Amino acid sequence: MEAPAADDRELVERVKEGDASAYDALVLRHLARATRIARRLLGNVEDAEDLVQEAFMRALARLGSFDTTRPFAPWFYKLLINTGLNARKARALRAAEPERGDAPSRGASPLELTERREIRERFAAALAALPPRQRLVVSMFEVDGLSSLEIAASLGISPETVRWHHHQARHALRAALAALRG
Amino acid sequence: MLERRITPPEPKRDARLARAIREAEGPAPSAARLELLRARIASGTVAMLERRHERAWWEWTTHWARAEVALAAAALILAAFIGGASTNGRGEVVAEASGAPVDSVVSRALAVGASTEQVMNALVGPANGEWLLGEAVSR
Repeated sequence: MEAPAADDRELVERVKEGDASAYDALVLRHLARATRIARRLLGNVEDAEDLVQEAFMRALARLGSFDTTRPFAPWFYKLLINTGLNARKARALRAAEPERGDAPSRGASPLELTERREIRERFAAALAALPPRQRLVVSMFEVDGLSSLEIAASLGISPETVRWHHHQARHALRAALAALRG
Repeated sequence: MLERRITPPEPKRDARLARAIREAEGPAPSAARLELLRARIASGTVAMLERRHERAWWEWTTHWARAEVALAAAALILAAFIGGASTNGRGEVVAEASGAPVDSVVSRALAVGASTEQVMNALVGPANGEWLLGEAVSR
């Protein structure tokens, strides 16, 4: 029988004893989600990767005083988001790179492709027009699958406030989608 | 009366909205790109943990250095008194075997009534241990 994967708490305990491989396992577990959140905050891949690296290094430096009875993920994401919000203020961000490849799907007509591109661009504009916190909340809830409680802990706000932000963001985005379809 | 706090229910997830957000956000970072980032973090992790280990060792050393030197000095003094020396009654320390006076900072300081703290400071520096760090850095 395969041994169960170590949970965050166990990994954190091992890191506190100086085990670098345990931190690598912890990084691997949260890297993809952290990178998505960072990109939402900063808008381009390079800045997002720098932010993720910085947040993981800060977390490691502070891990000695981290209370292991608390879950690691919300603590870490809060650190990441706060670092990212500070970076937004401090840095002149590089222009967002156009990395969204318009790979045409087979069988779509040029007219359909144009329509899809237009829908995507207008939805992206609506998403970008949301206040940063609303954009984060709706993406973390809908795309990353986090619960209101987890998002609340990561952002340092109440679950009720998370649900309010989510409601506002969803309302605006659905309106944008409906306008495109209408 | 039982008080109930009304919390709004968890909203249902909207798959269509999630798909649209994913498309608007662009493709997820490739596995190769994530692997590169992971390697950068791993390298930083090893460096930080090594620094922490070295610092812990150094702090331990400076913490115990004073006590170790004090013990060594005490043992030396004790050995001088018990093993090969005796006082001649006037506060002067003389060696039994050679008959020559023991000429050391410690014996002279003790003879003129210096406190243990003063002797220790003269021998190993002040109590906070930073002198040792300063010495190491200056080299």
